[in-house]
Amino acid sequence: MLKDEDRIFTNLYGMHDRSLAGAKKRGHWDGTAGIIAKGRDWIIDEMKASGLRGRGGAGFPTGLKWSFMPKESDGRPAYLVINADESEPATCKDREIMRHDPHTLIEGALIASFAMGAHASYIYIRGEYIREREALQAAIDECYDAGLLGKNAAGSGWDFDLYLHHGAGAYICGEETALLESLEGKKGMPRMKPPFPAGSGLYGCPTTVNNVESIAVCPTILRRGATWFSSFGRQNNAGTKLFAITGHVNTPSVFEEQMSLPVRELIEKHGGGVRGGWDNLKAIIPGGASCPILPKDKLEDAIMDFDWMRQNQSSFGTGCMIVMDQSTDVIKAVWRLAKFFKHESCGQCTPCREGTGWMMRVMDRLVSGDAEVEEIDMLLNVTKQVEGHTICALGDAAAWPIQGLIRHFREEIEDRIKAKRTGRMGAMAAE
Amino acid sequence: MRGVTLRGLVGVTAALAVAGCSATVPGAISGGSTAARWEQRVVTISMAERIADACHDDGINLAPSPYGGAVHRATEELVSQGADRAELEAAYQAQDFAALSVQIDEALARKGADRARPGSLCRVGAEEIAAGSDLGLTLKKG
Repeated sequence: MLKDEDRIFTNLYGMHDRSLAGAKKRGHWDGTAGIIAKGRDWIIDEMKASGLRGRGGAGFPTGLKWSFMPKESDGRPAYLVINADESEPATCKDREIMRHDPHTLIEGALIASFAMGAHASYIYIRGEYIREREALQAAIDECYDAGLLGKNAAGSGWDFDLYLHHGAGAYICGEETALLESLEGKKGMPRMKPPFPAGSGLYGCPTTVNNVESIAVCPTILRRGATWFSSFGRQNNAGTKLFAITGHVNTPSVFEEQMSLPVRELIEKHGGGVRGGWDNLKAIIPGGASCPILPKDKLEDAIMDFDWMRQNQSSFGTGCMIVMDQSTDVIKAVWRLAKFFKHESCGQCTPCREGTGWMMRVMDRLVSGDAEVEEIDMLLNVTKQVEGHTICALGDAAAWPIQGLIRHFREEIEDRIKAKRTGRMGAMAAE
Repeated sequence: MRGVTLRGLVGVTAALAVAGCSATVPGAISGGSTAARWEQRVVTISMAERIADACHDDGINLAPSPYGGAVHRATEELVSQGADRAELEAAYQAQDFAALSVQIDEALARKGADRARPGSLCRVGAEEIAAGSDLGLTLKKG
């Protein structure tokens, strides 16, 4: 278990004062100008050395991403855009930062923006996050009043403005280029890449898009040092991280823990164990709805980090897992995700627009057992046609849960089809 | 306040009678038992939350507070005014929140606000802010 002195988020549950005065008492905004005085290169090198990988799902190294921004301006301004859209089903970690510990994010925004030569940063917050927006805006207003934002922010000599933009509740706007489109006032549809945002992002200017948690952890990393942060977790999976556990556990929660702990330990220590005990576990979806499902037999020695999940044909994603016990109709659960992705497809790419609907309709029949057994492979084939053939990752996200289902629960699907034909259909599946 | 009955160990009626009506500083309401004051404050903050949820596009938001959530915020406000935390915890444990939620809706309805008509919530919010009532001081415009 992570020691209290190693926690970055010291007000995760909102039990303490979240105002600027409270944040300062907990050590935030301490020596910010001194960190900035060390210069861009030092900050980026330290972030690279820390091993921090993006906390929004893709896991791209944060320091490396920052280093892609132009060192010299060609006349265009640079921007940092913070992705607070947090719309992945089951993922609810960033909201705890924004509503309870917002100064970690604001201080991080200042330091990260300086490191990337940005005098302005935008936080794009999910439309449904109303309380979070209020808390974050109140914190931003406090910082302006205290001189921590604006001209000569925090006495650093760097002018910096921070804007909070409220989204309208579309999942696709969490995709970084769709987010930029939305921020510009257009429909939230992903852009073709290249050009990548670092070359041409917001308003055609160099832009880096980072997740809330990735930015919020950087002040503490820089204060305590890259070595401290990288001492947690396995190599290439460094640091502490906000995790969440939801579903069929006794105590669903959001918590900060070190990377690379066993999945079982996380579920039992922080989730209070699986409802009905570990042996009642059926499967988990490790890091948000788009991650392929993993059955219990894969989880006995599973490690919760980027590399283990990738090596085992799943994904670490946001680190917010859905736990399902034996009572779960796993086919229906994945059908529900397929329905979600169909609803959220922006419709720009044909494989995604048509494929998500097609996959959902086949999943309809798998749930009821009305499909032919041959349709399982046909469905798998369609997922392969969608995967990798779209502008953004929503097509992949729609395909992967179904691939995971077929990979690990094919027998259950076939049994249901056979049961339907022989009149042995279970009540749950027939609902 | 006709038609409202007492529920649980603390007085919902008394709480609702004061919520949104007095022109005092939020949470600085004197009189009544600690539990009743706490419940009254929870009701006021919850009413404000429902208004702010519907009216953020009209620029009506919750006024800033060091603490979030109606229960937590009410508790910390009263503790800062010298209330006994154990007494507040007991009030929390004794509270029937399902009943309280119905009462909050009813209190809003008496002011002419209906959650099905967001505009009516915003009108009430604006009126309360203008009046400087306890509910109005829990909200802010702009």
